[in-house]
Amino acid sequence: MADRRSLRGRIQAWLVNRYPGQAVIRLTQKRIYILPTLAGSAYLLVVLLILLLAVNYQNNLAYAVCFTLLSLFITAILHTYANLSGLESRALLTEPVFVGDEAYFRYQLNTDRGLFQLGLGFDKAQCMTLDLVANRPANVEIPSLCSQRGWQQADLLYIGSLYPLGLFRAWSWLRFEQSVLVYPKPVAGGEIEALRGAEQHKHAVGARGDDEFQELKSYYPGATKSSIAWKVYAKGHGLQVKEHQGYAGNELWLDWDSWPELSVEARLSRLCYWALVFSQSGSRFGLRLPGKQIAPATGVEHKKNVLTQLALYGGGPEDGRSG
Amino acid sequence: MAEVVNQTSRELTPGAKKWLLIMLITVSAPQLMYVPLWLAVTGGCLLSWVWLTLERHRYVIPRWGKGVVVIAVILGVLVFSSQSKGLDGLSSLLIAGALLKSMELKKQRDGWVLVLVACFIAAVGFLFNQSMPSAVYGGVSLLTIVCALLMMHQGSTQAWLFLPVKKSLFMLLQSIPLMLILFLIFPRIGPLWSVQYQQSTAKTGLSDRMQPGDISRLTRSASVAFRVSFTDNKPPAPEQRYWRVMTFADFDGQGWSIADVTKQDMQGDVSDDDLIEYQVIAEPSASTWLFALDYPLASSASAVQRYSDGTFKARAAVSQRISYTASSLLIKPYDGHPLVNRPRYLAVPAAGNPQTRKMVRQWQQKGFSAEEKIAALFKNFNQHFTYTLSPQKLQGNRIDQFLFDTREGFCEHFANATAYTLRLAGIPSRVVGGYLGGEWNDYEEYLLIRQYEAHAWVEAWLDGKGWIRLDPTTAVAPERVIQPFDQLFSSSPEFMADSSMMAFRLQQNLAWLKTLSLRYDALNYNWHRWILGYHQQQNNLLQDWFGQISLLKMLLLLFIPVGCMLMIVFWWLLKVQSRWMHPVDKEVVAISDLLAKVSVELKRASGETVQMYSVRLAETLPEIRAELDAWSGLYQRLRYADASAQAEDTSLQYHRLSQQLMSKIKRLGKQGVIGKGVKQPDVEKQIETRVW
Repeated sequence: MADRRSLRGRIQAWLVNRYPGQAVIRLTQKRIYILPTLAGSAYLLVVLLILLLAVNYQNNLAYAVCFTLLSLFITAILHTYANLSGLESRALLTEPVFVGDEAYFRYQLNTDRGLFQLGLGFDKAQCMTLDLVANRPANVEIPSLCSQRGWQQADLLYIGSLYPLGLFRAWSWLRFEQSVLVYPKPVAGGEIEALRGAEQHKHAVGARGDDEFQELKSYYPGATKSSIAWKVYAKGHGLQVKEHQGYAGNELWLDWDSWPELSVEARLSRLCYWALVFSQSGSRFGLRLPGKQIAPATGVEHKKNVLTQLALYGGGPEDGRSG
Repeated sequence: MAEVVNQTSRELTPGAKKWLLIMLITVSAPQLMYVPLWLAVTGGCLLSWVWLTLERHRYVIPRWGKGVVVIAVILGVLVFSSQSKGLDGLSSLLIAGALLKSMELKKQRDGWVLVLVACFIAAVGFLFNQSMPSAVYGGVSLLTIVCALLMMHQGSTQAWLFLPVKKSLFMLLQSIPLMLILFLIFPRIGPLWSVQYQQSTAKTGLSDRMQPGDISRLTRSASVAFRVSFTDNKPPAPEQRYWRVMTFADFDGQGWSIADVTKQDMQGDVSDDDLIEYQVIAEPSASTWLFALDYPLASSASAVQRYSDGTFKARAAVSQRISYTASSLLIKPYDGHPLVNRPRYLAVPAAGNPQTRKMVRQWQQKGFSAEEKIAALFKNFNQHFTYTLSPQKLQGNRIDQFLFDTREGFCEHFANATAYTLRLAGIPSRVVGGYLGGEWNDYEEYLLIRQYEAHAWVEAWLDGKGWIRLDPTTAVAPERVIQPFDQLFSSSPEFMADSSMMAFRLQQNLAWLKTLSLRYDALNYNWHRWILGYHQQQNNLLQDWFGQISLLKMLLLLFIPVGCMLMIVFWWLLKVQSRWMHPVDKEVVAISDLLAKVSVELKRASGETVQMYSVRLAETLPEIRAELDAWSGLYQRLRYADASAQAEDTSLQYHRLSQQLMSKIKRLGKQGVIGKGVKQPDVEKQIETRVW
């Protein structure tokens, strides 16, 4: 078992070396492999049995059956090969995901002939099957579980087909220049100093009502719904966004040093959680990582920026204990 | 469009299940007569039930019901196959297995089991029946097998009835060249181990003992005894078509039995201009007798043995059609050897038939020579006897009764009486059983001899001349020898009583029907000779075509044409299909072709999108600008929008508009509007802006 796995690993490694990653891959004879399936081998065995029957009974029609089946076997090679040949696959952009989620790697398939029953997947056994109509590109999404943060390269993509007779499997392993950004897994927990401070500050000053002392800014894309000043909008003054004065004075910082007791990955997970919480509530927040700092801001771009920094911290994931 | 499935344990689609059932029914139907009746009935019920469960999802067979059926069928088949010998048991076993499997059709693996068993059943079927129709049927069986396989591996959304048939047919046709070449050159070796062939062939033809009435019984059958083709394609004259099968030397007063004859070497060294060489294809007869033109000299086939009385016998009973070549002389010169075992050919029972004895005594008193005695007898036959298929029954002193009382009979009666009388008269004689005549088939140039042409004649030993053929029938009814037998006796009720007389009479009266039947028999003859008997022809054929056979030549013969064929198929697969058009594009091509007839410049350039094309057309043909705009808009929607947006009426509208456009273009073309001031397409620009 171990041997088989290592063999498979070696084959994969060989494939990776053989084909440079590309954005568009067209399947040609350099890339298509074709071998009889198990059922195809059983079929050959039956052909052999029929041959024995023909020889022993000197029956020329049994010979004819035997040779017809054998010729069909040969013809099936061409048909199976043709069902994969000329397929053009293109890697599309893939949305970032969190560790533990499935990333949907997206591909566009196009062909100038109808192709049938193509199986696609990162795992040969668990494929998605589709028929392709000529000159009508089809987009497919193939899920892949992400277990590590950072840039994750797409696995070799298996693309194969048994069509038309299942006697042969034609397949190819595609290596695309394609990767997905995996954010740390958000894990709830801990408290944010500044948040607590702000709360205390509010209690101390006390007199000011929250609503009155907000600064209104004109709407910018990415502002959360809850931050929109709906009352102002209802008065006909256009879309305005409430900037929480209370936080503005005491800016929120997600700080690497907030939880020294945690390991690197745990810290990143917690920071990620809070980053999501703040983005959700539309708060202005900044990020402080060792050697890196992102100034407080709001919006989708900012969130992406922060999460990307978290994902790529330390050039990739490290062992939890060493942190 | 896409579905996630686990490919290793794929479920069978309903369409695939249906095709598997169709395949099973088609493949096993011809074998129904060889399997026990109960199995056929059970199978029919089971398959219809399974089909019903596919059509509507009720009536599922309960688990215990399946168990009962499985156990019952297995027990029944085991009992049957232990009793039956040979192939009947095997075929029942296969069919029963496939039937039981059809109840458990769920995964692709189940489908594979059925398909592989069906392949084997299809081949086994040819051990029972090798006729031309059964071969055609075998082709249909193979087609259903391919269809079932195809359905197992295609999506459930595709049509299940005709599309797979078309595709399978293509695949089979593409496989045929390779199959033919393999069939042609695959070396035919003898059986690897001895197999028990089914011995169900009924004994037909002449029997080992001849009693009056035996041969006339054969005239009830029109079945084929054998066919003969001649090396120089010329048959001997009708009166020389005596086919020797066996000789009868021992007479016990009732009938004649086979002589104990010794094996003899072939007389192969005879080189004579009169030598006739021919090939015989004998139908299965379940006996060892073979047919040869009188007088046979040699046969090249190893399965044929020559005997001292000049007959051929097969080394084993003929249970399959066999063919052999032989050579004969029509007139055999006396080789000077004396008669061996003379008393044997003179032996008759001590008493009986006093009148005949008296007649012979009279001849002897008159001092007749052997020739004179024969002449006297034949003259008697000629003057006083009738040749008939339905003579009166003879009892007691049969030969006396025949010679002096009834005076009518068939060839066997005459042969019987002649041989007996000659023996009494001291002339060694024996009866020869065989066939006389044959129908010449002009289309394939062979002679067809049927059972009803069975005949018996006499050979007498004359000192200094050897064995001489004497056919008393020629004395009484010379027309029997010259005229086809069927014409002679077609009005006799006994003639062909076992065959369909209606059909035969029709054939006699309608010339074209007769022609048709001759043609069919010619086809059948070729079928037997070249296909079923190919293992006997292979060496000669290949040598005729390619000279000395060598491995290299055979390999070249295999790889060159097969390689070419595979290349063509490959090209077809990759190229021709790429011309496949989206249905919407067909109209674009039609319009472009129509315009190209008027002016080449109006043809759609390669790489020009339909939108650009319609804009360009609108510039030269402002008369139809509105239609063109609407048309290209519809095209865009149909071709590039999502499937959900492609409503039926959009496509209908598009087709209607295309038709309108074409008729307008035709009208404009007639008026001569098109073709002036045509603007050249700007190809550079188009390639840049081509929509991908």
